Amino acid sequence: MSKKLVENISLWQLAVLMFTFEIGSVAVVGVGTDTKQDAWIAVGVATVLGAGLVWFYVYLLKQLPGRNLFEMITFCFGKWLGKIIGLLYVYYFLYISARVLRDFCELITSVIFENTPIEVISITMVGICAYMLYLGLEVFGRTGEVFIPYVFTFIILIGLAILFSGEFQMKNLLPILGDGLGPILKHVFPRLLTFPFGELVTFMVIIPYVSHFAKAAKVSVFTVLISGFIIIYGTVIEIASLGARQMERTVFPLLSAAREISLLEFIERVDLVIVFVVMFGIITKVSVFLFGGLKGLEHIMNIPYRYLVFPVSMIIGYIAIQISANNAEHIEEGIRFIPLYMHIPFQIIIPILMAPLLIWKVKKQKRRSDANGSR
Amino acid sequence: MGLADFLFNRRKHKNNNKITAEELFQQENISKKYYKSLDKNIKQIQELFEHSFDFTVDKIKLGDTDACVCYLGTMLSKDTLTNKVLNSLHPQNDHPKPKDINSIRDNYFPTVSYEYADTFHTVVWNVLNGYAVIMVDGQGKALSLEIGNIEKRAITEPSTQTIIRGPKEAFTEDINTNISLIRKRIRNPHLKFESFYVGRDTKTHLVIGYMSTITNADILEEVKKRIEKIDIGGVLDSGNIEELISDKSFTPFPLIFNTERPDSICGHIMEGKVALILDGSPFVLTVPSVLTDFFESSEDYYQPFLMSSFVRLIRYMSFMIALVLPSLYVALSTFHQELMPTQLLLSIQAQREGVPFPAVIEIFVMELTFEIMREAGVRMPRAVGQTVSIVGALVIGQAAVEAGLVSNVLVIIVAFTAIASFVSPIYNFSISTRLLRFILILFSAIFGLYGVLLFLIVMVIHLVSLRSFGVPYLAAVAPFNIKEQDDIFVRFPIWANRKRPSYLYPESPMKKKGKNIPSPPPARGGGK
Amino acid sequence: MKKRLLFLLCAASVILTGCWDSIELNDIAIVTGMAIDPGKEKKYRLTVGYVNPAQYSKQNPAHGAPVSIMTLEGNSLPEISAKMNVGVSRRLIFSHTRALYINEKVAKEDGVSHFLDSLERSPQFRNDFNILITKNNSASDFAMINDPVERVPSLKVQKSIKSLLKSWGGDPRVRLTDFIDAIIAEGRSPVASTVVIDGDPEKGQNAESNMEVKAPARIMLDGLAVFKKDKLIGYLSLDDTRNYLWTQKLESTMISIPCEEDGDKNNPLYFDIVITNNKSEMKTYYKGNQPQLELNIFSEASINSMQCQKDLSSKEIYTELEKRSDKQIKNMITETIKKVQNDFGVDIFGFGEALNRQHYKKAKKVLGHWNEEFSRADVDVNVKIALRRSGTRNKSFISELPKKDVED
Repeated sequence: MSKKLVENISLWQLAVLMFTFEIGSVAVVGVGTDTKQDAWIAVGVATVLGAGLVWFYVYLLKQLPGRNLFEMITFCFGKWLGKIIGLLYVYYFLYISARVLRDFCELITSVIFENTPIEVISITMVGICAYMLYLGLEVFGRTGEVFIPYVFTFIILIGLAILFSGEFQMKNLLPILGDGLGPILKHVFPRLLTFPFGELVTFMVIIPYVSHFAKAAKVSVFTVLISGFIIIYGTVIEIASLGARQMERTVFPLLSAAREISLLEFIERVDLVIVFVVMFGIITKVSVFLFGGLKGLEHIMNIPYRYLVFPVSMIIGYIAIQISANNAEHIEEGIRFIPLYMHIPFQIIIPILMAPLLIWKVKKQKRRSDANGSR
Repeated sequence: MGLADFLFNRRKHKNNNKITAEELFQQENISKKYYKSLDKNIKQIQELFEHSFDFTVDKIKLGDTDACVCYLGTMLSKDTLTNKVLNSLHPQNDHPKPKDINSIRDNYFPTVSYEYADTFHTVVWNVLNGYAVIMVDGQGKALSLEIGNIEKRAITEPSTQTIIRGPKEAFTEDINTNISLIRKRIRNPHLKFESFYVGRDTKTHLVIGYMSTITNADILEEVKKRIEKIDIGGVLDSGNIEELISDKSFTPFPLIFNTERPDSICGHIMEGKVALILDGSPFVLTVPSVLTDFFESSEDYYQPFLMSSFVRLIRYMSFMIALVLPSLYVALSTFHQELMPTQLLLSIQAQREGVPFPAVIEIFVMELTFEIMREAGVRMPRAVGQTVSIVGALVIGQAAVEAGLVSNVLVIIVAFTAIASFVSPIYNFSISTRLLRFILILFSAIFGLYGVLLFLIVMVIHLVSLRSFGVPYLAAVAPFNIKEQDDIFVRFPIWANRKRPSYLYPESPMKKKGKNIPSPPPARGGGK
Repeated sequence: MKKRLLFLLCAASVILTGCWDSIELNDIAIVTGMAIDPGKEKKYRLTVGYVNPAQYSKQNPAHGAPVSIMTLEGNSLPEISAKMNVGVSRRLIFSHTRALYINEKVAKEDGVSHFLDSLERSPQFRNDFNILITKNNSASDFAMINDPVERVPSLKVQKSIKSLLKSWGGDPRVRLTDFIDAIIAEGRSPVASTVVIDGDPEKGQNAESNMEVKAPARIMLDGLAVFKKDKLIGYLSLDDTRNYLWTQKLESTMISIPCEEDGDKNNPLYFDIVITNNKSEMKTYYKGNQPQLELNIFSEASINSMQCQKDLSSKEIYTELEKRSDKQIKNMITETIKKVQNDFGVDIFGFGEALNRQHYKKAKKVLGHWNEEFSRADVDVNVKIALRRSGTRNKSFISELPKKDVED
């Protein structure tokens, strides 16, 4: 294996990226709206399960230190089968990144820019992601570090502002578990577990580049718990300020909740702050998926991914628009089709299939090298 | 009784804490021994002052005995040195053969004030203080002669970086004066000054100064490499050097810090940076620099820390204001009217009634006018300065509003932006905001707030990708380091700030060992 | 170099074709009030009132009308508002709408849900305007009544509602989304404020009316409009509105209470208490098959005036007055609830929602026909007033007067 110029990101950067990744599109579309006022419980359950899932991903990575998801797939399935599965993953990552991008474009075009062509939004956004990835993973991590304080404080502040505006009504959260746990569990699996938590499977491409790999598992699990907590916080805000009925009706719950803010007769109409939080979250999310796809292509085609950044990202910008004809189709795909046929196989089934194979192969390799060593 | 005890104890306490120069040197592992053998002494002192171009050892003969004169050329007046010391040591001068160091002094330098140095520490200390030290073979002590200060061009107050409290000296165009200004503040043999000559035709003297015990060797190596690579006909100011050695030219942000304040340079050197002093330029550069350096004024360290923290936050805020305020106005007034409170919107709309230009053009024209006025203000003869401010403020500002060409709000915004852009302590940095502001206005005119955000994100991506001599430009923020936060956005008290910035990878990371928090003596009256 | 050029070209193409959504401040008209009347030929007649910005200019305030209005007919609000430019020079911006006046005829006959959907859907409208049902006059009149202090009529209405809520309480604090939520909710029926014009609307429209000390016409709040689903079915008086608010969230109010329960009928004596802090708790449950509505109110109050001879420095008197207030307020609120039960038979208080929160299983069964359940429910109101202080005097000077003088 040739020595490449290895780029590293720190544990803190990994945590930051994971956090923004998690809350990114959740802030746009909201989660758990089907479970009404119990959405936050559903998120809580999903968070715990999600943390387990992430621990499992890092556990897999630990078996082969320093190799990313695609290298691991090739290791397990051999060259040709590995390439095919790798390509499927590339397809999955790029498709999801286009979807995430589309989420944001829908938000912008339906809330702020009614006349601006959606293409412009999509191209500019994906352009930023491409520029960032072109400059490398380190730059990506550092950009996250610069923005995380703002993202975090804005989210907290929005909650506080709603609270002080008097729009926060705890009674909207009642009754707790009126219909029992059944509907919640049904919602948690597969939808809530796979989105947003299962999507962390992409980080199997990034985690190998963390400088203190040994601690990555702890940090990732912890980050997932923290971000789950923030999502719960956001969901509680949404339910308490909008009420379960309205939350079901609105397309962008957090944005609608922020519209209720009115402080001192002057701090009102601050909903664009949400757009900022969302925008950075989306950039992170698109970039992570894009990076995953590009790394896969790099592995399969043996071309440095920097050559591919701009063409692939432009394609994604285009796909994001072509992916569905209208918003309804876009949302329906996200609810019915994607979790079942994309999320579950790529996030759960393939990794689980891979696990015994991986452990067995690693053991075999070890035995062989031990034998070589003793000889 | 109690009070007297308090005062007495306090004074005693103070005395105990006093560190003499010699103790200081002991900490730095400098040997104390002064040898009788001249060669050993010379070797010793030359090792210590290695890489300092201004350190000179002149070997002479006193009759048959070997002797030498050592001094720092930048710390004393060379004329006096020649007249008083070197001339009288000239072999042609008829002096009786010296027997010991006392008779040497009596015979050769009866009129020069002197001191004997019987330890090596004292020798080094005297050299650093601008003495010429004469070491004679076979003698147990050295003779230090006080020569007197360098002839300087009058040192003036800094003109670009003024402060209220703190030293009011500025660098001059003379390199020796500048070095002595630094040497005066850091009396340490480990402060090195290495000399280079740059410019194929001009052969300008360029000196790099650093602390050999602090500065990271790799960074130093990189600086030297880049200076050696300079290939140009002539350099006239350190600004030329800045462009020739910086990591990236296609960026509006200055990657190299410059200042005309010696105290500020000393602070940087003590953190482990390298100073570049060019002959003929009163602006001294330091590398590597990070973004946050440009928000720090040396006065921050002279004023109480709470106040300076507040002021520092104000600086960051005004940077943001100077950058985005005009574009926010454009975005809010032409794209997002719904985001303004109703009353505010009504009064802004009322003021804009009858203004014939779109908001973008309006603000572009006013910002340009302001830039022109600023440039004119810098270039024109001092005598007409008053005129320009009157013309600017009254004629352009007020008349334009009254004629209904621009709105009142806009004039307020342009004025506020302009003032905010002057807050940055380093002029170079405010230039970058001026430039970016125009691009930002353009973006906000196309995409509204979305455009502003787009641009800011691209700007941040650009910023984090920058490096200054291998150090990330946003170091301590990204990559984030919690331990560095004591001197970034706020300043902790000096006693709490014990570490040198880790992004510079200093050879000795701690500034000091103890915590020595100031506190009153333990008990009053009672006890001992 | 070529790459840079290409990039520049791409950038230029974006920049040069940009600004799709930008509009200059000089080209917009800020709508502050909308009024919906039944149309003569089409479904609705929409009147918008937009601000005349020159009126707000500090430099040369023109003495024209502060707002201008425009009326059109059409079948849906978006259609009409898009068409408004047949007569209005500027693009209308609805994001600062402060009041929506709905003619009672529209609310009674067509129901309001048809146009509320378009308001909720549009990103322009915010959730901060007041929904007002207009009585007697046509809604469009309300959009043009001038007010000498607040020059924009709709701003005046909103401010006056806000101030009223702080001092007395008389607006149900209903915003668009709350209203819509109440329409679709099973355990609550929507309400909205009503307004009337006091005076001559013809005169009130004139900008010159601002010169007069006594405004010729004023917009006044006039209680509550009660809806069943999205149709108006009746009105409640202003006092009932306050009592209604007491069951919801009352900020502050002032009540005068007779000193003696059966005192002099001809010349009753009152004392006033101001409610400063109020907490009400709603409980709905079933006793057997009989629904029970329980309302527990705890309020802090202080005495503001005293017409009768009571010594306010004594603790016993405080207790006595507290009891009097408890009883009085209890009667007031019970009466209002009973009135709603009997006259309208819709649960505007949200007792059904309380049932849903407290007894979810039971609620699932009965919420489908909750209004009937509500009408036959028993009402139990418990009020506890805690009198805290009595202003800057304790004894009233009236109590110092010889008793005889008072009676004279």
